[in-house]
Amino acid sequence: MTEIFKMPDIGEGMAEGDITSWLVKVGDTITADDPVAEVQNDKLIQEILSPYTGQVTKLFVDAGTTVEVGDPLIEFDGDSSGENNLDNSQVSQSSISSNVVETENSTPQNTIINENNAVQVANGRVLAMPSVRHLAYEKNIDLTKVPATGRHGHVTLADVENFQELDSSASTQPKMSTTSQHEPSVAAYEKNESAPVLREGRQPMTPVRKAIAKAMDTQVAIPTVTNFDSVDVRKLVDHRNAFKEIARDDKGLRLTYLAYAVKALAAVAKKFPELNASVDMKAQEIVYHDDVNMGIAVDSPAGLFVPVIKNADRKSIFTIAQEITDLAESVRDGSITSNQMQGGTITISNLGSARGTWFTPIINGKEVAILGLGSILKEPIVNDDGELAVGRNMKLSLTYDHRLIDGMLGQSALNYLKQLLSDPAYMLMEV
Amino acid sequence: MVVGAQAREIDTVVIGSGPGGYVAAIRAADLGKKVVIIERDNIGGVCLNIGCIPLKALINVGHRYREATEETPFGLITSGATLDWQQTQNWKQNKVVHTLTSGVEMLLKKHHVEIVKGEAVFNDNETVNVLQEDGHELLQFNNAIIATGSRPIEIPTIPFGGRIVDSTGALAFTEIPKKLIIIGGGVIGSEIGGAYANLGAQVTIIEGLDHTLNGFDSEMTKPVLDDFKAHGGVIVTSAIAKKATQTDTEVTLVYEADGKEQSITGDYLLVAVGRRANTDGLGLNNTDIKVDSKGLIIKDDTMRTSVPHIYAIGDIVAGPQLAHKASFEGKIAAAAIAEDAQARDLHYSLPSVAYTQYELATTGETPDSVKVNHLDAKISKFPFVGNGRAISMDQAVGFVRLISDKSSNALIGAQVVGPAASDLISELSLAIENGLTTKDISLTIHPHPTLGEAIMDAAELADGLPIHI
Ligand SMILES: Cc1cc2nc3c(=O)[nH]c(=O)nc-3n(C[C@H](O)[C@H](O)[C@H](O)COP(=O)(O)OP(=O)(O)OC[C@H]3O[C@@H](n4cnc5c(N)ncnc54)[C@H](O)[C@@H]3O)c2cc1C
Repeated sequence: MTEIFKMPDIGEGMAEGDITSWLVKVGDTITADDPVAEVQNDKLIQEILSPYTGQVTKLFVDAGTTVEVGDPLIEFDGDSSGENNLDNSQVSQSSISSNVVETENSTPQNTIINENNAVQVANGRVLAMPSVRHLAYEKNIDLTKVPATGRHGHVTLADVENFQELDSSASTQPKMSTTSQHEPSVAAYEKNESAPVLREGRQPMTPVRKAIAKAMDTQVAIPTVTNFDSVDVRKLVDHRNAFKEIARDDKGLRLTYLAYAVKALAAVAKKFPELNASVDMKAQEIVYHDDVNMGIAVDSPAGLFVPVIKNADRKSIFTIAQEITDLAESVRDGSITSNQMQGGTITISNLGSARGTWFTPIINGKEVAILGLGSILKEPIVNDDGELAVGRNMKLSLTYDHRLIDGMLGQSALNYLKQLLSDPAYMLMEV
Repeated sequence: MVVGAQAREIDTVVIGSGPGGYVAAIRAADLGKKVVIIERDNIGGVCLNIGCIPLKALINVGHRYREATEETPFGLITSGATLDWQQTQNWKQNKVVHTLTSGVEMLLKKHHVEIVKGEAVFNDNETVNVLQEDGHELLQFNNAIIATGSRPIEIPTIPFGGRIVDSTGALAFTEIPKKLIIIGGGVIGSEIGGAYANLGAQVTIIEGLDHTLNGFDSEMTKPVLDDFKAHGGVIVTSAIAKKATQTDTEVTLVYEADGKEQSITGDYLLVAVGRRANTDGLGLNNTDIKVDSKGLIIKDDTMRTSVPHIYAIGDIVAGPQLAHKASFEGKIAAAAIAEDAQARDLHYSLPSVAYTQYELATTGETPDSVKVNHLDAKISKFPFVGNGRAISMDQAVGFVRLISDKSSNALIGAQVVGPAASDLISELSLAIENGLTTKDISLTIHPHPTLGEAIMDAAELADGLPIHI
């Protein structure tokens, strides 16, 4: 009996998806619940499972094709058993691991990114130059965990920098265009001792790249303004220094500046509800959100992901730090679910850990504001006594939707954010 | 000058101006701190005034004297060479030591480090009292770095004085001893003994252990000891010094060896049995700084003591008493105070050198440590007899020895015995710190003819493709 397996609704209201690869071919005999294809949906790759047992007699589309829900996928010759299993359980979350992306079109020299090739020599040391070891220490990274791409298994500066980007949930809009399985990051090009591999010609976009490109495309029409500012965070630096060891020793977590920034921005979103809203042009309405759900842009070898910390305004900085770590980890190991990336009301993007200063973040989804965090730089400042001193200036870039937010409001919100970041004691009083 | 009870507020005070202290002070100043350095004696500490530098000056004179007075195989005859010892001492003191110490003083000023003369004693965790001849000055600090170094250990039954001297005395002899007795065959005793042997003294070393030059294995020390003995030197190992008596012209040491009491008479006795950390008298009992049973200050790898804003570096903390270790630690402490990224000791290898007749140098793992720690390592050794430059210098003695990780071929240790070992060891430390493999070394072009080629040859040997052996 011939059965046609049609593209199922794989959830989250998705109307279409890319068949990134077939896991079966014509002639294969499969049983119900066997995975048959991988489908790319809004940055997630999911496996779809067969509702039927039988022999595959036809594949309707080639890998790489976009299909809509209900389109025919596979023709079976079988006993139609298991047909009733066609429900959501047949879509299993699979990792966005590099091998998945590889199956499509990766070249062999790019395949080691997720493998830890760091060589540990007999006496337990890692092959890495002193500057690399210091950078790793500075970024609180265990060198033995950093995938090594250098000669003879050396961990390079770029390896540590890239690892940090994953680890700290740090991410940047600009990097989106350069970090993928096929295009090593800018840092890797600049810092890698070996000559970069030049690739002339055309390369298909990876599924994740496509998803990012599509999401960004829809943002181009939004009239945005970006306010740049800088705040002296010496007190914050002291505060973090005082608590990072406690965080590590007592709770085993990494206390980053990002966690403070999330908390502070959440307070800003509470005080300035326009920043925690959406614009509905069709209805000519402003949609205010009650909850402050903070998207955190996270870079991964596969591309940019924006998992969400729900109710960030109601969580402690320690909790936020823990969630950032967990979410970044999920992005890295590919276990992130689309649920974890939905419902964001405002976003934060961190270029600081990549030593970036100011940049122009692009608004995410239906939100109206995004904060870009830059490095904390040692710079001359004039202190309260009118003397020249060494300040610790954190660079801030706030991009907002000018349809809803005007310059004065944008700057007022930024000023409040600066106030919170400049003194953790003040943050304690306000949030 | 009594400044009064009002303490002057200073951001960072550094106590001691040796290679640990002055380096820390300059680095901290450059990283934006207002720094005061306190020194009770001479700027430059032990190393510049009475240690590394003046001793190396005398060792150099010893080499040159020996060259001038010994027959050479290449036929150079300098008949009637004599040495004006007074001039040697003046040169060492005025040209060498003074040039360097005044240079350091200049550097400190140039980097806006204020020098306060006097002896520092801690009042509490925040203030230090600087005792001066005619008064005292109270300094209140936000951060402090202790770098007070060490001093020679005295054997109670053999007190210093007269013809019984410490290393400082031995460097300042007004005449070259005819018969010099040295208790302690460590690096300092052996270096001083070697220098005076070259200058014509008959030197006897009395050592408590069963070997001298602890820290270097017997394969390394053999050429040094052979040469020392060939030049009339005597080494008595497993010998315990008991007591010493002296007259106006000579000193007699009684020691126990081979189960019997023996004695030896010379015109001077140098006691070089180690150095004690200068932590007593610092008023540490007024602070919460913890010391271990040997009086060494306990610190973490950012050089921080049990009082978080007080740091300790150099001879007063654990580890070998070496000037370059003190300086390295000084930079870490300064970075830690300035919250700089380099604020942690992440080094893989600490080189150590003995300036004996043939220099001994080691860095990283040794054959012994490989054995003790059961490391999967490969050892390759290239002798200087196969090195063109060494032969042309008539110094074809010793070897370069590489210890590399068996699976990755990364260099993890190295030793050099022979000409310029003290300089050659730097390349090897660089290789270890940077994770170079023996291949990396053998693929690096070394100029010819140089002693450094022996390193390339040893690396090729490790790779299984030697040319010169
Ligand atoms: C003869 C000899 C040869 C040596 N040769 C070598 C060598 O070739 N290579 C090598 O690496 N090392 C060598 N060393 C060891 C080296 O000198 C020391 O490791 C090094 O000097 C330690 O540096 P430091 O900064 O810890 O202290 P030091 O150099 O000892 O300086 C400490 C300073 O602190 C001052 N001070 C102490 N207490 C106080 C106080 N309460 N208040 C104010 N000031 C105080 C002292 O006066 C001194 O100037 C040699 C040592 C000796 C004795």
